Amino acid sequence: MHIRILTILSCFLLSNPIIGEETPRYNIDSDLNFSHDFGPRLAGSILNLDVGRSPGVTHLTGWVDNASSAGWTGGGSGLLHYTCIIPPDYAGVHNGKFSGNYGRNGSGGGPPPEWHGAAKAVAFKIVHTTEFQSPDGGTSDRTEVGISERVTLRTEPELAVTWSASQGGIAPLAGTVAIWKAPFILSGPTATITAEFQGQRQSVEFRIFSPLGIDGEKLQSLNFPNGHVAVGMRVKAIFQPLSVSFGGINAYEKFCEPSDSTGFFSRIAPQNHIIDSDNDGEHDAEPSIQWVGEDNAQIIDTAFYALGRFYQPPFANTDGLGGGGAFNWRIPTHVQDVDTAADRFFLNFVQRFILFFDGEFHISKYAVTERRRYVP
Amino acid sequence: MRSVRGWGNVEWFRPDPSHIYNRSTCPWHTEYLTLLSHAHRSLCYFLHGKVEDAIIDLDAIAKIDAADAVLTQANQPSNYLRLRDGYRSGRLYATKEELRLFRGKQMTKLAQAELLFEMERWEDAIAAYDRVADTSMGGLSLNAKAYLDFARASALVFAGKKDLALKFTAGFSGSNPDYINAPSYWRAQFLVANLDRENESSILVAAYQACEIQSGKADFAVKIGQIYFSVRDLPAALKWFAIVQKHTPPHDYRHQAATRYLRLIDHL
Repeated sequence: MHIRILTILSCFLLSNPIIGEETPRYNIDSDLNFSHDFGPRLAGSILNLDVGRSPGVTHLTGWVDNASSAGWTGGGSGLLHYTCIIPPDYAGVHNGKFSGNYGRNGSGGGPPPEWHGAAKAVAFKIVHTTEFQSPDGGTSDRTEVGISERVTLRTEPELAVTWSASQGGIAPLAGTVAIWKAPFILSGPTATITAEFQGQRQSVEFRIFSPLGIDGEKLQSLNFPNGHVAVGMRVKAIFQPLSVSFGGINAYEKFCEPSDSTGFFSRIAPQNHIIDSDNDGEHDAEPSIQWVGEDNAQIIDTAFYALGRFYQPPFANTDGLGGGGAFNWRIPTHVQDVDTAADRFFLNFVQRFILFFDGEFHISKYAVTERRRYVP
Repeated sequence: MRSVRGWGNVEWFRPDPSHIYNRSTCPWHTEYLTLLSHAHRSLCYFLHGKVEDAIIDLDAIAKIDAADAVLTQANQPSNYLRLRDGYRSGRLYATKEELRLFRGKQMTKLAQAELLFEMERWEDAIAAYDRVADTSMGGLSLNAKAYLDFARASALVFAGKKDLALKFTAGFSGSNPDYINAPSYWRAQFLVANLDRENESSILVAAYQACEIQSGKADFAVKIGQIYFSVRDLPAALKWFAIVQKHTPPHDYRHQAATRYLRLIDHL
């Protein structure tokens, strides 16, 4: 059988055309063997195709050989209408094909001649890839993202589409590839990204997370000379949730005064929380802004307090609490967009200190506690 | 190894018993054997639960079979995509539940037939399903027999041999079908209907009424609506697409398709 170059005799639109839903028509016997390509279509799209008679053809019948629920339906006699729905797993379906018999004036005996048709479409979908893997090992095609996280958008197959986003920034607005950046300030918990191609729209919804909290992982206990009443640790700040990456934001702590002081610290006022990123004991002029990191765990915090040699145990029981004392720093923590430096308050993180009668000193931060016994 | 027929479908090479095929007589013979080897090894990986290894072996299809690569590239139904997506969801043409009906050697034989089916090598698939039946039909459960009959009938329909398919659908049709409790029963109703053109819609309506699975009901309603739409019985089509909307949430592709049909009917 030789391969014909096919021509569509007529491709007419329905009375009120709906974009992307025109009905091509082939005429038998001008088009005995045809193969029609509908091009890109979305899941849930419908395809329609008509098969009619060329002049001189006296009768026409047709059917679809299709054993499954997916694929083509239609046929009958006279003007044949075929229809098909594109399912989400279109690439895996067995499409079915249509065929039939026809007769024409003056045809002799023998079996009626056959015609055969095939039609196909391309399932068009958005493919999205986050810049970073999520720390919990999730794949980069996840639909949960952190604030300011970047996602590369493409279509499959590759098409030059128009992109839009219900929130966040997207660039370029047209083309085969675009980058969507999740918003830093959320106007809602989700964002819908839409790609439009020849009047057809495909969307994908992302759920966007602000940091929900910080878990700590103690890396190191700080050493102090004997005779000093002090405690400290280096702790890794792990931003939650781990199902998204906060690689698009920085974080920093601000100054605060002590609060909730009891016992020893109600008599001897504790120091303020100062920003001392270089650990030289001096108050830094600027806050230490650090990248949260693609793994949400790039910030290492050094948390400590030292009474030094000026105060020595025992710390008397002055208020009936058993001696010692306690206080908190409620440290205002901010986050910033890495690119724009847009800034907002995140949480007041409590850094708690407890001093015991015998000079043992505890510090707690990000749910991690360090204890140091006093050594004369 | 595959040739494009005049009407756009691609047909697999079928050896002629009177010819000798080797690398001297046939320029693509070595590649053909390579493709088959990889495809079979991918199937072994799949059966052992090593899905990603199985998919790596499928790359041979994309590399060697140029016709399939064109379809894959365009995200159109292709052997590669069909097998890849099937592996990932734990199925072949048989669903997960249907695959579980087979054990041991029966399973091995069935999987070979399924591979051929998914690669649309209909004649080879029919022969392979027949081998499963010939060697182990006595040891198969009723539900496994039901699937085997369904798969054979499906392959015969896709191969255009509808008359031969009828004897394999007997257990799925009639007033008291043998396979009524088989996992394959509901999907087989589409096949039974396709083979009985005069009663196609009434068979599907009966299936819709009897089926208690919501998603299955929606599938039947869609197909019935499509049949009425294609014969331009628009009031009936309208009724069934409205039913589809009731059975499916708005984000479901069937709901969206029904909405499109209803909009189209408004314009006809």
